[in-house]
Amino acid sequence: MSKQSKISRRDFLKLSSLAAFALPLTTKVGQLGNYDLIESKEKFGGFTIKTLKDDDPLFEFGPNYTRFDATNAILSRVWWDDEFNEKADATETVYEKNDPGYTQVDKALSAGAAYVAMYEGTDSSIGYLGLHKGLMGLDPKVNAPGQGPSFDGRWEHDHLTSEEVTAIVKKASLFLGASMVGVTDMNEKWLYSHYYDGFSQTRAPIKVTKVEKVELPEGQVSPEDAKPLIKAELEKMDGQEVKDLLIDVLENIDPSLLPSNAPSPSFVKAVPVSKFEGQAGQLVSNLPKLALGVIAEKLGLDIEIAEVDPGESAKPRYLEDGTLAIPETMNKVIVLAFEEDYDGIESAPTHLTVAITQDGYSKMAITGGSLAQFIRKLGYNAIPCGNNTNISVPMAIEAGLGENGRSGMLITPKYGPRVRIAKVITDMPLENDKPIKFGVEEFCKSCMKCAELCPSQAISYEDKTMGSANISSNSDVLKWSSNPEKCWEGWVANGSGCGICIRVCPFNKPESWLHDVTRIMIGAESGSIDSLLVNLDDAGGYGKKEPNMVFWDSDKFIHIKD
Amino acid sequence: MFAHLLIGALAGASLLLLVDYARKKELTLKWWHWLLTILGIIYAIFVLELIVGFFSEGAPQAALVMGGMTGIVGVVWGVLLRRFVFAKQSA
Repeated sequence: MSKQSKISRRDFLKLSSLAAFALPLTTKVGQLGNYDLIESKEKFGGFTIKTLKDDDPLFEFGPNYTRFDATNAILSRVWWDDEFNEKADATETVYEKNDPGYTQVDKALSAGAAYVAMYEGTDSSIGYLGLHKGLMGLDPKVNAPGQGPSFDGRWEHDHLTSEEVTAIVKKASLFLGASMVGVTDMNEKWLYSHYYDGFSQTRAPIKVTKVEKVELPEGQVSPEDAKPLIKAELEKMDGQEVKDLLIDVLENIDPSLLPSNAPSPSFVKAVPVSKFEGQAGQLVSNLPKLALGVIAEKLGLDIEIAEVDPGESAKPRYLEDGTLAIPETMNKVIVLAFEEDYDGIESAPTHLTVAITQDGYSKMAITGGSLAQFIRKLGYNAIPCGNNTNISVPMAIEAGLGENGRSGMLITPKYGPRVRIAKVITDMPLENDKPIKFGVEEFCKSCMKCAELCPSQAISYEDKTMGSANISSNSDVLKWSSNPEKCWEGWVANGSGCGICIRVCPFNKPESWLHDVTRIMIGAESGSIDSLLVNLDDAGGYGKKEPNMVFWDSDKFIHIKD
Repeated sequence: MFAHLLIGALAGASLLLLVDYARKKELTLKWWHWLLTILGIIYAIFVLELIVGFFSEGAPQAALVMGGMTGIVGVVWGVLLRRFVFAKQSA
């Protein structure tokens, strides 16, 4: 028997080479195909994320789909539907005064959290589905010192790519308080057909309106109108002349004002003359406003390329009959999501959860209103929206913030359903985000926790359907259809709100490596292990029927008592 | 933080004790014996960190259930190491 009491040099080398091979392999495994595991931790909380291709269908509509009337939303019906209110009010309450979560401290916290949302009636536009008021108004309520309400001209961002412009807006959104931000096109299907304002009992249409062309003073032209004029002049020139002109322009413009992908003069010099023959149209269409002005001057065109105040028809406004007019040029939606406190949601369905929800609404008002003002001061129009004007969940899905869950809520990778959503509709040119998939649909097919633990049984156990339980849910769009009437009755029974479906959702987990393992397995969309994961979630004591009243006792924010 | 330090110290001490034990008993250990032993210690760290993680998250039931499930695998691993790696040649 040979003696070997320590690792030999050869053995050590074997181990080292194994480690050297394994480390990059494990790093790369997460980057295979469409998956992006390693770089997504901050944004996606550890999930393996797939971005959908442009032709992947996101929603399936029936032939009779119509825009949903916000008058029929449950938060509107409580203002006008006496029959429904009578039925809901007859619901038996299930709490006692001073039960945990219903104490004076809990209610006071709820009132404090709601203060901004309720201030000057802004709650009507944040939590409800009515007029844009207060912080969520169509016009700025106040202006910063030294900044008047007048049109200051649009932000000159020709030197930036559209991706960089979008990143600036996203950074501003996160700085102003959003937890997540995404951009998508305005999808008119998700625009409410009518708004309903309970406070003023107003119901009126929401319409996308035409924008009238604004006439500029003689001699001034908009950048878009200048392009055909310049193009016509360039077409009179041969390739060598166009090339020389372009080099001249590039050499005389401050490079920092050009887009980061603009060619250098030396690059243009190296391009054969033949490449400039007959390319005037394409050349002009890609030029920023600044370069257009210089070229016009070099060409001897007697025009001044001026910024255009798009005028009243390009601004969002209420018409005389109360119609909310959204100009057709406001075709982008910035979707903001706000994380709700984990410990607070654990206390669902008590007044503490209402505090968490109202805190979300207040943050929606602060950030949505502030972001809208930021965009207005860049010379673009902006409409900050809470729950009103367009349906939040599908907009958030289209903006790549998450997927739709069985409960009907947005399921985000990082926070699960524990978010509130606000939107800012704008005419600022921004780059869209791609919708994402990370296994929610597959998982929700197996998992029924929200449906099983919903006290009023408002969540469907069935497959997705085009139907709807009642007028408060839209039909002819394929989705897990919950019953808003039953949901509201649950709220009445709790004497507050609810939020149990948020609390018990297996996607609602704190950020931790422990849950990252599960996230990776769910993200793999295998389906076969989803039932096992749900059982493990149950066995681990997550998502119980009873609330977990940890908010005041946890050490988050501050340690209260020993 | 203290729990992580303790787990790290326990893991380090376990490895040193095993090396010392193998030396004293003059065991013939191939490279894959050491690999299995080190992986076993890493797995033990994983189990302990998992239990500590769930407790610190405020999920004691999850700590017990998940700790129990993964712990059983660790115990089996340890027994197999003892039976086939460290005990077999010590006789």
